[in-house]
Formats: sequence, structure tokens, C-alpha cells
Amino acid sequence: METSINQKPVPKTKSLNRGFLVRNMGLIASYAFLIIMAIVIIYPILLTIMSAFNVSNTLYSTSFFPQNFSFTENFKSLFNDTAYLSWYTNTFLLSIVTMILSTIIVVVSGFVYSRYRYTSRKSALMSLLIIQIVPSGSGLIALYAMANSIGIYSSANATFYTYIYMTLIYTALGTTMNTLLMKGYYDSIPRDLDESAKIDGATQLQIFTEILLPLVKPMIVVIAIFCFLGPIGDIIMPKFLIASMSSDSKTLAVGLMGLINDIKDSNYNVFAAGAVLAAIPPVLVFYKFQDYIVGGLTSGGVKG
Amino acid sequence: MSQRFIFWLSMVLPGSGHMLLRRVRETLFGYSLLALEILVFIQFILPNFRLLAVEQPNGKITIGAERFVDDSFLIMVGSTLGGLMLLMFIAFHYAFARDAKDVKRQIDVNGYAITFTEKVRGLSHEIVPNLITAPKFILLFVFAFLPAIVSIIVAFTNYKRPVLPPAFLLEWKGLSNFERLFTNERAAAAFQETLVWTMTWTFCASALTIVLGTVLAVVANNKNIRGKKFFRTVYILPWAVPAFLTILVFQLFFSKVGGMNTMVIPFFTGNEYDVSTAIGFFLNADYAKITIILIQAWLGFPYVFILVTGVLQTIPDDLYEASSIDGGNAWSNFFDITLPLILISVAPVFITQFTFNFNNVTIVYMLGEATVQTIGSIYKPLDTISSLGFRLMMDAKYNEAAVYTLIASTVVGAIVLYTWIKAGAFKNEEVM
Repeated sequence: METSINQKPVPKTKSLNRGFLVRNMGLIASYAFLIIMAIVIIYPILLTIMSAFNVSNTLYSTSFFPQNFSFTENFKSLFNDTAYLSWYTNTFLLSIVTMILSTIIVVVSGFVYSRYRYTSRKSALMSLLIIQIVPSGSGLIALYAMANSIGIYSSANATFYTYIYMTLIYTALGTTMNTLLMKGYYDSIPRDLDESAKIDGATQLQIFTEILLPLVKPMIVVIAIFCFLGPIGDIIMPKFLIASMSSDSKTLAVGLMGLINDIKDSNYNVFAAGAVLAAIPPVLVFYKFQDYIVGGLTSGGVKG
Repeated sequence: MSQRFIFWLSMVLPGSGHMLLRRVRETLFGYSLLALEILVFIQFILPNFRLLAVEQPNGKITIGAERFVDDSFLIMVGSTLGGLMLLMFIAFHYAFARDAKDVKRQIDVNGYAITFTEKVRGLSHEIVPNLITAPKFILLFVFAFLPAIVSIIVAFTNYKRPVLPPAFLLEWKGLSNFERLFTNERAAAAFQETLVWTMTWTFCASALTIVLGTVLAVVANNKNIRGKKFFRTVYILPWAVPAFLTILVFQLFFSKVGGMNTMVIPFFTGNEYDVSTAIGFFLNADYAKITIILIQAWLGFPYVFILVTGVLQTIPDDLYEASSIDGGNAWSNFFDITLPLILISVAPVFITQFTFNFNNVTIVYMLGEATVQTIGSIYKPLDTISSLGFRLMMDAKYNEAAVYTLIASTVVGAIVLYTWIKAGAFKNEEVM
């Protein structure tokens, strides 16, 4: 067919003549579109990385590359002038503990829903489906007031207790949809496998730990990543629950937001340095497990 | 003594139905349950319910009787718990009544009924899975379900600074928090404006995200395009970087001293950068609205891109070969084969995108911090229904916040529920 898109790629050595341009209009337009979009995506990110290494006294910079390059200056002032290190540890401790707790709960209860048949099973699954509809922010007022009423904010270890409180909230919220995802994945493993193991004398616990767990590993990875990335990216809950606390007890999101919005100590280059450091772990995790995430997502999409 | 009589007797007094049938252990079990229920009722439920609505000398109806002695908020939570407990008691009674009726039926038919020990043994496989999943349901109850219910109740009180318990008693306000949105002239106008913007934002952001993601996926998956891997790696970057970071980066980028003004605009117009003529994208309400939609599209399209890419890879080549035999060209291939197949899989995404953006507090709240509230208006230009819920919460106007959150949650819940019922999620044995 005489179409522009189905044309075979022309060797690169061929000179750019009029005919070539006309015949490949579609392809050229496609490349132009893709490259422009790539620039739109990369430019703001690169700009941030560049300004992380730029030391300037002025409020703005008009050149893309750092005028006053310094490898460490902004990072130094980040660690010395702000409580960045404790934001960093707060955030990652919070998300790692959440990840461990919710992954355990999800993996075990997914197994139960998939392999046990009992009367309240259907209503349990149904209630998970329904609780999931309620937007996570809707209970925030009550969560704050509950924390207040049981004396979390007035205790000596207010920060520590608040973080435990937040961990439990994130864990609870992380178990609804993920349990259904996990259960779906268990369901995709034929039950004949369990049956034959049972005939060989395996107990239910052995079937779980020795046969099913290795098989559902990909889904466990996906769920662990979801639960890990959730608390890091959230600003709503920490902003509200730790609003009145000292600078040391903030999370990365709240702290970095303050770095931009507080007029008196805002320094954009220092913010950029903080943003770059904060982005590294999630981005690394994301790209390392990219295939798992995409796979988990599409299987979840099919299940509805 | 009919089965119905046994049923209703056990419903009122669990255990008594079994007593008439001379079943000792069930009777003891039922009566001790009843005793426990009465104890809980007297010790916990009744005191809370009694303080739930107290008429003060000045005619106001408050939660709790005395300042500093009664914590109105705890009474609210306690009453909610009490109400749920009463429901649970009814469920227990019903279980006893069902069992008593069943025993009676067995005796009527067979002359005997299975013993208590046999019954418990039969139930043991029911108990284990429930025990294993119990911690999760306790967490969900305490941190998701209970707060959601209590937050709804807050919408009917005057819970806002400075009325904070235990220093003050909360007052019941009935529907007046909701009424204000429609009767108070200024509030009603602002509410309408916010509603229109919320709808515009939700629709535009979702549509742009989906169109951008789909078009990029189709173009990048053209088999003549080289460097697919590179483009794919770049296009999922916005998804990999935590959204709050990119939102903050863009807030800077579009500010008067940000990259958009200092580099991008000078590059295209050739004019030198000047602070006095620079555009504050978030200082003008219209610019801010366009900018936030563009930023959300930037943040959201990778998800659609990946999804559509997956769909495109599952379309068999045979379809295109068959089409080319029938004389189809690239356009007819796209419109008759590719597009319909994409649309089928993207249709549910539109719903998730729609609810996500409607409920998207993060970006609206964060960029809203950079906008300016015009003099005389109640809301900031970017405020949506859900973000207002959050912003009012931050301002400690809890009751007003609860009103907005309730509206937002109802809308989202209704949409999700509707689509699920339509998709048969509740009937599908596979999902269950």
C-alpha cells in the first residue's frame, strides 16, 4: 500500500531530498512529536538537577547550566541549615515499616481468601471492596481528633507516637485494594497444586510457605513497592497530622514544601538539592522493578 | 411451641429458646452473652448516649453536659461505637435465634439434633480463617471505617476553632452547615463557582491525560519508529518521580523567577528576561487554571501510556494483514482496528481518572498555596470541592471541611459503586 506510515525505514545514508521528505512526512512528524514531548518531560527535571549544583546569590538564573558550579555547596547547606536528614529518615522509616506491615497482612489474608472456603468469606471480600470506595482523606478530621483525644499530641514522645499512628493508618489503607489484587494472583495458581501436596502429607502451613509463596513472589514485589511508594508521596496526612510539630519531625514532603513556601528561608537551589536527593530512592526502585509494576497494574486492571 | 415462637424468644433473650429445648450448654452460653451485653450497655453505651444530646439552660443542645469534664469528641466516638455494638448484639441474637429454630426443626423432623460438641467441631474450619484475617479488619475498622463515620457526624456540629473539646462543648447544628452553602448569598455564589471549576478541572485534566497518553502510545508504537526503549524510559519518568516533588518543581518553574519566565519565554520571543514583565502563572486565576491542568496531564499521562502500550502489543498482526488484503490503508487501520480496541480498554480508565482527579487534593492544595486569594472572595481560585475540604481542615474549620468532604466522598462513592454494579463486580464469582 502507498502509505506514509507503512513505508519501510529508509537507510540513513540516503541524502535528504525533497522526495524523501514528502514520502516520510508522517514519520518525521511522529519523531518531532515524540522528541518534543521527551523534551517537555526531561527539561524541568534536568533544570532542577542543574540548579541543585548551582550556587547563586540572586533569586533567579537565566542560564540552563550552572553559572557558579559547586558539587557540594547546596547539599552542605541542606544538611546544616535545615533538618533535612531527620526528614529523610522519618519518611523512609515510615514507608519501610508500613511496607513490611501491610505486605505481611496482604500476603497472608490474600492466601486465606483464595484457599479457604468459609461462610463469612464473601462478606469479608465485599466489605473490602466497599471500604475501598471511601476516599482516604474523608476520615482525616476524626483521625486527627482521635489522636488529640487519646493524648498523642500532649505526650512526651509526641513525634514518635504520631509516626506510629500514621504507620497504622497507612497500613490499614494499604490493605484493601492490595488484598484483592493479591487474592486474584493466588487464584491464578491452580488449586490442584495444593491438593497434590496435601495428598503427599503437607500441612496447610507448608503449602503456604513452601509451594505458594515462591510462586506469588512477583505480586509480593508489586505490593511491597506500592506500599513503599504510597507514604513517601503523600503530603495530605503528614501536613495535617504533624502540622504543629517542630521542624525535626516533618516528613520530606512537608519539609520540602516549607522550603519553597516559607518566604524567609526559601532557597530554590537548596530546595532543588533536596528534591534530587529525595527522588533518587523512589526512582531507582521504580526503574528496577518497572516490569513488575506494569505487570501488576495490568493484571489489576483486568480484574477491575 | 412452634419454631417461630422459639425463634422470636431467642431473638429477645438469647439462650431461652435453647432452654426450652433442654440444651444446657447453649443456654448457658446465651445467658452469659446476654449478661455481658447488659453490662456493656449500662457501663458504656448508656452513659455515652445520655450525654450525646444535653439541653443547656440557654436552650442549646450540646454534646456532653459540662466543659472540661466531658470531652464532646470522645462522646461522639463512643456513641458511634455504641451504636455499632447494638447492631452487633442484634446480629448475635439473630444467630442464636437461627440456631434455636434449626435445633427445633431437627427435633421435629428426626426426633433428635446434633450435639453442641459436634456443632463446634463443624465450625472450627470457619474460625481459623476469620482469626487470621481479624487483625486487618480491626485496623480497617479503627483507622478507616470509624473515622469516616465520625467525620460525617462532625458535619452536623459546630466543631471549629475556637470550639475545641474538652475546653468547649460541641453543639448540634443540624443541617445549618449545609444550608449555608445555598442560602447565604456570598457562600452560595462561591460554592457554585467552585462546583463549576471542580467539574471543569476534573473533566479537562482527565481528558487531556488520556488523550496525551493514548496518542503518545500509538505514535511511539509505530513499527517504523526507532528508539522505542528510550522514549518509553523517558515517558514513564513523571510516574517514577514522586508527584509532590514534581508539583513543587513546577510551582517554582512557573513562578515569576522560575525557568518558564527566565529561559523558555526569552528563548521563543527573543526578549531579555525582566522581573517586572514576567508572568506570574499562579497569580492570575485563569493562567493558574490552565497551568494546573497542563501539569496534571504531565503527571498523569504515563499511566495511560503504559496501559495503551500494553493493549497495542496484544493486537495480533493478522488483523492488519487481513485489512491490507481487503485494501485498508494506515488511516482505516487506525480508525477501524486500533482505535476501537484502545477505546474498549481505556473506557474504564476514564472513570478511574475522573474519580482520581475529582478527589485529587495533593496537586490542587499544593499549587493553591502559590495562588492569591482575591479580596472579598471566600475561596482561592484553584480550590475544588475536595481540596476545600482539606484546606478548611488545615484552618481548623472542621465542620465546614466535613461538609465538603462529605459531598466529595458521596459523589466519588456513587460513581464508583455505579460502575461496579454495572460491571457486575458484586455478582462475578471470579472476583469474589
